Amino acid sequence: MDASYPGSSDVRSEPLQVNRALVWFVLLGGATAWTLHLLLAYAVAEFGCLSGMGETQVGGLTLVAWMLLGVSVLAAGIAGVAIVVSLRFHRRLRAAEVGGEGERATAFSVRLGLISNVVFAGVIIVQTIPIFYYLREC
Amino acid sequence: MAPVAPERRADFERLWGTPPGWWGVLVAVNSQRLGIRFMATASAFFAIGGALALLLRIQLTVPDNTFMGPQLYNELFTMHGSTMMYLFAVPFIEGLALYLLPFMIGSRDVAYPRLTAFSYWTCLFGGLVFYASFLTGDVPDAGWFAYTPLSGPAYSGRGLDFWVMGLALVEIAGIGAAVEIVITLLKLRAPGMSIRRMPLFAWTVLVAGVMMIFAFTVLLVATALLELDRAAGTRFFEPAFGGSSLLWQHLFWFFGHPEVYIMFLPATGVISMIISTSAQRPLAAYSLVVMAVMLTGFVSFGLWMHHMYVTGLPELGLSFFTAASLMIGVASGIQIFAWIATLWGTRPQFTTHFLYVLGFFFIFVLGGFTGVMIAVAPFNWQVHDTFFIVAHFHYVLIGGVVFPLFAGAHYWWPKITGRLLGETLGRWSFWLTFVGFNLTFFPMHIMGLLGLPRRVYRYPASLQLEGYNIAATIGGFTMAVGFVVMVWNCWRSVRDGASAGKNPWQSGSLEWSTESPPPQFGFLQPPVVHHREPLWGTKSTVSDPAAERASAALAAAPTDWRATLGTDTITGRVVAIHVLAGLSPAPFFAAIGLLVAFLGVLLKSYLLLPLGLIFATGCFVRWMYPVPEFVRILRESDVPERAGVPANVTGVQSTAWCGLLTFLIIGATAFGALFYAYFYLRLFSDVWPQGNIPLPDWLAGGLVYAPLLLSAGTIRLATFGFACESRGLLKVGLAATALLWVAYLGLVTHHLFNQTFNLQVNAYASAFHVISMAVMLFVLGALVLWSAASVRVLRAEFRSDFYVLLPLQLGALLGYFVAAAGAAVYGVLYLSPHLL
Repeated sequence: MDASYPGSSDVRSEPLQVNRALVWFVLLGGATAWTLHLLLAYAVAEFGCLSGMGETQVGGLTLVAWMLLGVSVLAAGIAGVAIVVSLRFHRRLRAAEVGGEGERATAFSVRLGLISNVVFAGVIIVQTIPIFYYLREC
Repeated sequence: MAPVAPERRADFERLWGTPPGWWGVLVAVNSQRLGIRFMATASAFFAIGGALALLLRIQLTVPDNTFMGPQLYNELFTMHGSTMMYLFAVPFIEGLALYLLPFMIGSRDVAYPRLTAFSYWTCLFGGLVFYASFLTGDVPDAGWFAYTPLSGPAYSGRGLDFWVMGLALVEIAGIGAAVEIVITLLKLRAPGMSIRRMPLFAWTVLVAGVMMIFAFTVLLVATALLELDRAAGTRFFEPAFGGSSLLWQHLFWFFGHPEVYIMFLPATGVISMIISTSAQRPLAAYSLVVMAVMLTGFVSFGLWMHHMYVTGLPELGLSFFTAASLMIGVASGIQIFAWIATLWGTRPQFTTHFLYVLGFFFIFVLGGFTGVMIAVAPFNWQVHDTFFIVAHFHYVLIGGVVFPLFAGAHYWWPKITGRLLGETLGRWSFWLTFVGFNLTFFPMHIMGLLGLPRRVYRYPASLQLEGYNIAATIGGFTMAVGFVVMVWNCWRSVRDGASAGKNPWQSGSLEWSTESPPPQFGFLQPPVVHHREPLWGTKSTVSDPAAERASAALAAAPTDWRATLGTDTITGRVVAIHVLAGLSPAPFFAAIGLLVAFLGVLLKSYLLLPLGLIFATGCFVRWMYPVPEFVRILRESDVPERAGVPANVTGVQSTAWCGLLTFLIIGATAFGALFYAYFYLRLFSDVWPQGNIPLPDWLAGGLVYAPLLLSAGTIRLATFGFACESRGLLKVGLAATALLWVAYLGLVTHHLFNQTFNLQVNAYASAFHVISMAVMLFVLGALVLWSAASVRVLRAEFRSDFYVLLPLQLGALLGYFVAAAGAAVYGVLYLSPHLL
């Protein structure tokens, strides 16, 4: 859904068109990626190790380790996309002369999203590090 | 703001007021009244829980004490923990939030005033059920966490039923209050209060509210499964029948750890508000603090397993949770540095509330240090179940929650009562509490490191811990004296305290713009916000004519229906006038119905269960059904036209639609918890289905669930018929949907009764039956709503307004959900056993 902010007397005559779904993705993309990472990593570690997949080796690594690395790459990828999108959005909003409160609120959401996406990407990386200690076992 | 004629104000007071006497108590829906009740009730439970703690301290003062026996000790520490966690901290925070938020965000009340009333009554009844156990002598004795199998039917008596039933009522109250808080914050903020102008207390309560919706739902599912094990003979937590005791721990701590942050985050919101006022400047790094709050909310759900480090989980799994546990310290650190930066270079007044803030800093930082220590698995293994853990969580919970709440109570007391508290008595109460607290709990770190286990009613003299324990007991009583001084201070303030005026602390947030105490309607004219600290900022040069027009139209108006402005979630642009519900006894009686149903389970008088639920459902219907005369008044009102925005919008802008969506998120979470239980049990079973139960027939199951899937199409037909004003299509869609759901209910009932196993055979059978019945419950609810919507839609013309279109939208939303739930359950129960 596109939204503009006709209620405010902006500096510019034409309000900036903003895709609301994109704003929500920017705001929550990194957090969603982290949630996905934690839940999938937990499921793979708990269910994979107990079901014996930790004993199956492929290319020198356990199946569980491969799956965990895959999950981590997926989650980090989503967080990365969220960072890129929020960065581009942030630059776009900065380039446009943001005037009304509606646009400033959007700019704030984007800035908030940018910071939190970077932090969540960091959390995903921190949580991935222990996997490298368990590449050949559970 | 133009002056309002006195007679208009009198009309307004009559419209928004609460009648005096007992009837007024029962029908009150005003968030101020109910917020105060929540806080008063929670404080009473705090006093009782504190008294229990003193009894425990007396027992532990000297070695080999015979003051009480092991059973009584178990009962008292169970009730102490349960009271503080379920009946004090969360209800108090809910009360504070419900009281303050409307003023803070410039709304006249909360989104669903009757839900607030219902939440209060269920919370009160839950607490009474907990304590009714003392009357029968069956006091809960399995700890506030109620680990199975200790809490299962084999090892505990009726006391645990009191615990489960009381807790379930409190959880329902908590979920209700959380929905209330979240939707109010998303929908009812004042015009101009965009997402970047929300007060930090509102941010923290918003995040905590979202967390409560997820965490409390999982606990509700867990307690329901536990009670089914106890009362109906299911086997979820019985290893001998394929169940798992650890399943309870997973479900419980998925709630239990976020619960700590559900209490802590609003407490940090209180601290942020007070520090900003004390420093007389806006909080530093607002964006970073908001991000830290969100980060804490999310990551707290990833820590549940750090309560289970000693349960033999795979080390690989533990490593993730250690990493997540350490990361949450980063978020807390950001907030603490922001507070320090705000105070840097200022000269704050050392008022009582500020002293409590400083006390929070000292105690919480120490609790945080030990938190980082026990997040590390090897250290955790050493101190698990010792007094070190008792010391840690009391430093976190009392330092991180109780001290900020006391700070908040002192800070907002003048607003709530219109009177100032005595500073001298305030300082006495602070120092007694602060010194007493540290004297009580600091020695427990040492006792824990020396090996004193927790939850043990006595210890031998040979451990040489008497000195530490005597100090702890003296500290406990000192703290109690501090609390008594605080109560005395409050009493004196109410009797003859100095008048507070509107804004005694020169604060910048909106709640201080109202009278003290505020009128029940909050704002005679809805404010328009131009600044993050509205009372400090100058009016923006950028005008917002739409907001000004809407605000002017609602100045002491309307006087025959309760109205407040609704705004866009992100931008704060005014979009609607929301009609708020008025006085009603229905919430009280609905809570009574629920209480009767739960008492039926408790007393094993199972007829009371359906009777109570039917009565409660009737009350819900009465509560939500609009009075025709009221609809006419609303349709004829000229206020929306003058305001330039519609009243009672439909779809995503309506609070009803958002409320139902939140309810469906709760439903999805409940199904998620059930599916987790199913797959967890499957993981630990050599064969699945367990025992001699054959693989489920996917074709027969498909026939049973097909009507649910087909109903998604007929719902679409009905909404399409309404949109293109085709009465024929509409009728076919409405009738076909209802018939398909009735067919599903008949088919699934027949299917379950004709299985070769009942729900008591083993854990698989329990999961199969309970998950199937959960879908049936949702379909039953959808059928009731769809029928009511059908009657309303068929009676009316094709009007796209709140009273015609919205019921259809709500019915459709719920209908799509049950179709999706049916598909998911079919996949889990009938397909996954063939694949996994």
